[in-house]
Amino acid sequence: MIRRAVLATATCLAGLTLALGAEPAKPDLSGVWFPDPKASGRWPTDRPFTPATAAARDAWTKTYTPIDLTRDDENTSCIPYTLPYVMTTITQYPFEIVVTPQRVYQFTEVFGQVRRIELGAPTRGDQLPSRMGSSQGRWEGAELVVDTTHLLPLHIGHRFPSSPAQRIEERFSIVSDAQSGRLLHVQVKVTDPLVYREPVTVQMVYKSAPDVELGEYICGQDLWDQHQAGSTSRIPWR
Amino acid sequence: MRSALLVMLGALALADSGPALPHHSTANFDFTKSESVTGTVEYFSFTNPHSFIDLKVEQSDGAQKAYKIFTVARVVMTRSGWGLDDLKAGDKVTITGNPDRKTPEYLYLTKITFASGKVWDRDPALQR
Amino acid sequence: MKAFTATAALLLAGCLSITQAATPRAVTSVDLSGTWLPDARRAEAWPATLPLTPQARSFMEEFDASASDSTTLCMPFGTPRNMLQTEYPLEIVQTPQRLVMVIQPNLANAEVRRIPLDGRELPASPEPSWFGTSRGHWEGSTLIVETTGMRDDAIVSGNGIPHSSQLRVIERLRVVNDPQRGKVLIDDIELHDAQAYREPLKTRRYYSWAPDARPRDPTCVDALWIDKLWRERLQEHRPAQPAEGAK
Repeated sequence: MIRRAVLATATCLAGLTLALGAEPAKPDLSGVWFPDPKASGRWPTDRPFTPATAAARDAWTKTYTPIDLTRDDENTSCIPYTLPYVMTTITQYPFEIVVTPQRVYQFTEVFGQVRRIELGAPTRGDQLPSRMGSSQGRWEGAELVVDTTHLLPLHIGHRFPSSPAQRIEERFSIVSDAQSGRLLHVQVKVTDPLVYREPVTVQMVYKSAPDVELGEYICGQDLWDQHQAGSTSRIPWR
Repeated sequence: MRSALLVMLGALALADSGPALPHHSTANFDFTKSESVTGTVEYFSFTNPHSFIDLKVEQSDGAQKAYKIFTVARVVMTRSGWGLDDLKAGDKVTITGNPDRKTPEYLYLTKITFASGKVWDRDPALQR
Repeated sequence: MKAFTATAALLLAGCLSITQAATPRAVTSVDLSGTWLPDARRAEAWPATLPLTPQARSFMEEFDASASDSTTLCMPFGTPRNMLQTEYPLEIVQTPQRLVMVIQPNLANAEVRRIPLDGRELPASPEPSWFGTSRGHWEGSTLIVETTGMRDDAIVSGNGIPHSSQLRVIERLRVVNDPQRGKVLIDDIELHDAQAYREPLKTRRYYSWAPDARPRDPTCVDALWIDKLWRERLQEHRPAQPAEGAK
């Protein structure tokens, strides 16, 4: 009787220890985050383009002026962001991370873009390139390492040209300190041997904003408002 | 010609430093300079990712000068205290901003006093 | 002996309860998370005669899509049209406190609906938006979602059913296991709008579980961008004029 009770308790305690101690504590990445412009790094001003890329970009600029790339902003015309820019911009748009067992979701306020980081077995296979690409995540201790491929290549004259060989590795971790509170650190490493001689790394820092809910971002609102104002069709209840 | 145009797609003017950018990249605005103008709002494009204001500013000689004021995204503005009804065509407002190096009538808004007297100061408003 | 057994039993009970607390609880309510494909064939068609008010009826009779359909300018479907459409997948991400629904059509913006489940009240008059302001609560295994604050320049369907800003949408969402189709999400949708409808409009939509479905990047605005470049930028520079050569 006593032996059975002791055995049961011991088993229970052992099970408890296993349950609690089996995995290293993973940081909770969930929540709303804003880029910290002061603490975050930047893309290097002199990016390490391959000689071929640099030459091609010069040729492109010479051929295609008078299109002024500093004046024509595709995002203003509602072309959405692409990785890695989404994760290296310091523009004050938040994103929200939601963690589920199979996937980490990143909801970006800009253009309402959604990024899915798969945590389970790789499901990549044959996929069309897209702006957010295909992301596979794995935990390495207290860091979530995310590997992204299948990104939409951006042309040679683009601010951030990329080839189909582009690969991005991000390392997400949480850093807490008494002064700044909870911070999300993301190290973004861009590898693209057809564009850059060596990988480019940008260290981003994000501040937690638990009181913020992502806003409804609608690009083109003014186009619609103008259209409605000039429309012959009346909205009945106005 | 169409294919050439397609190749031209993808111009990205947003720079990777400084606050959120309007139509022009950071390089075009002189952040060391600041200018204040008072004028009447002709048109307010309240949208994402960039809003702009067409302002008619009366000069000392009585002539009207057209200014274009660029700001951040609507969603960023409304999150930081800019009310949906704060600005509309016809309002008389005072705007402070950084001028464009090439086109001095283009300003990147740093502060605005609305017709109601309410003030929106961009940097403190966006502070987190 | 008895005291020892009692103590051991207590220890065991305590240990078991700690273990229970330490291990993640099974989700007690239904989990709607996943990617769902609308089943176009089972989408209930609107009846031939709708109980519209005279204002709504005249709008529909004069309806011109190029003037009044937001999607012709790559603008959103909006709620509830985004739940009634049968072309694009619906992604649901559910956490205990909140549901996020995302529809990514071939338009300029993704449509994101955020539905708190924490029991907070719907605001009395939310600022009109494309996707509305929603609240959700469970009734057994059915999720009831109420949405208000939708813009009155959005329409409910491609044939021009309008709604005013007073529209209130009530949805009843549940998951069933269909022997032929597998997991199916059913959304019973009611549209309440005294300015537009003499009585509430009701319909049902079916969604099939489709874990491998992926949304596609939109291409809607690409044509607008090319036109804009052509119209505004290239036309500023005729071949005869020297290029400005921007740097």
